[in-house]
Amino acid sequence: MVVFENVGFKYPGARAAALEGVSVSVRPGRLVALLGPNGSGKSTLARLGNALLSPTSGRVTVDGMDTADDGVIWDIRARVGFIQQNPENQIVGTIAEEDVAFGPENLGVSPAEIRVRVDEALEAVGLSGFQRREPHMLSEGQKQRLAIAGALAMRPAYLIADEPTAMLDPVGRSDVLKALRGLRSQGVGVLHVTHHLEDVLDADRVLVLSAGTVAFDGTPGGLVSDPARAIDLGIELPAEVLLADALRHGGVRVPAGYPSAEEIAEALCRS
Amino acid sequence: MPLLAEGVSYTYETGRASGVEAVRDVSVSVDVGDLVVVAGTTGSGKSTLLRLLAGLLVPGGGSITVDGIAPGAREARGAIAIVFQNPETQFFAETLRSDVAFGPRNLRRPDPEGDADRALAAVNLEPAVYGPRSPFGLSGGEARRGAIAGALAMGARYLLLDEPTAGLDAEGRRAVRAALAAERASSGVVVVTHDPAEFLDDASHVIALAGGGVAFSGGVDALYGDPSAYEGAGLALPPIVRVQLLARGRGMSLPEVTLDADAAARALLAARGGSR
Repeated sequence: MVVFENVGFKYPGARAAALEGVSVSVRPGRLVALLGPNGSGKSTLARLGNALLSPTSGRVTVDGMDTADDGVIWDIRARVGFIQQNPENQIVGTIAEEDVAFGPENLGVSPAEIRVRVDEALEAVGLSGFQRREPHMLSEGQKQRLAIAGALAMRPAYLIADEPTAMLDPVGRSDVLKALRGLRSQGVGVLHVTHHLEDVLDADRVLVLSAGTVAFDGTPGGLVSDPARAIDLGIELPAEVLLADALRHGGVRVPAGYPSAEEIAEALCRS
Repeated sequence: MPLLAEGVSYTYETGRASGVEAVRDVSVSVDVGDLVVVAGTTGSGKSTLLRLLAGLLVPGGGSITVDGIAPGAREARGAIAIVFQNPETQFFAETLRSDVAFGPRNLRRPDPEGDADRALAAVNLEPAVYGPRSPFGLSGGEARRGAIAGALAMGARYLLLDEPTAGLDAEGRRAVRAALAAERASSGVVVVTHDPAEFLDDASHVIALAGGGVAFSGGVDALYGDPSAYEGAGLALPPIVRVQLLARGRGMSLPEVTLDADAAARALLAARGGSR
């Protein structure tokens, strides 16, 4: 389990703390979503999760190991994979399989074992058959899935994904979301940082950060059913959810949650 | 006279005999006051079209003119500004004012700092407040607008932007859209994006590219009248628009289709009352 305990962080020279008193844990096989506007501390929290940063107060532990303990930093990073927003910044290989093999090679894993891991990792993200492809010839969504495969080849227990869909078109976005869901079902604990509530409607838990503190801690449904609250928190709900809410106030019986365009139109004509 | 592309094609040389045709027979016209949205999925040719319009690539077929002359010509210099994806990664100066003034200073304009301040004001970054600040300490939306100001400061008549709202939160996207809307008073704006939904209320013209060719080209009313070609290009109308089109299809009278949830709700409730 990745455990953030009352975590605070202040960047050197900064006047205000980037994070203060944040507690959350990510269990294997669970998906925790982290939302909040730009500058709310989401990326800082993500970086604290695999010891890229170390908290200035409180504690972050990964399966009991403290990220502030330099002696276990590599054990922690082997357990916690990290994916960032821009796929271009995280690809090192000249062909896909080389890129995915980079991590385990560095760990001294045997070539035979690397072969198995690379093929499995590419398959897990839907890139089987892409072994010999050059990364720069891939679409952005494929590149991001390649980056995820690179993290998977390390056989992590947890994956932290910092806005992994921000740069992608709708097709790339849905493929990456599918790949992340696949990991969860294989028992990987996922912390998914995003601006888009639509990306994480099936999350086990949603945390909304605001100016470095936890402003909401609950389920996706809790945000969808209370649009006024979500907007207050700086979370953008899709326009059709706001429309559905306004229509409900006007006496139209629109189904709760995330109704489709067809369901809303149907409700309008029926009532 | 507009920024005009007529039947433009472009093929990337790959070393193989045939090459890859990225843009095929595309025409577009941009006047001051226009907001032209070029939409398409990854690999549809939209970024290549942007580079062609900016004069960074020379078309293999067809022609491009800026107010009547070729975009690569010396006299056309400064007429077009291009804002690439994530432009804020190109900040380098100690203050935002000095960063934005870099372009006009290079063009030897008489008052680069004044140009910078006017550009900052145009993107709603108060020059007195933001000018002296470090560009590296800005929020995502502020940084994006600051970088767009860097392009505006050159005094271009045409502003071309690649995914100007990608990666921004709701507040940042609203601020960028407002800045672009204001900029139309003095420029023609072209936005290239894989997610055109948020620009549909403002667009004067929409072009959907698929496989390098034009799948749809027309106004927003024409798009809403028959979205099939647009959807065939792998693009989706926003669900809130589809609700209104479905309602129209069922005989409800809606004077206009909007992305604004409150306005749409009012119109739908009124139309529903009227139809009974």
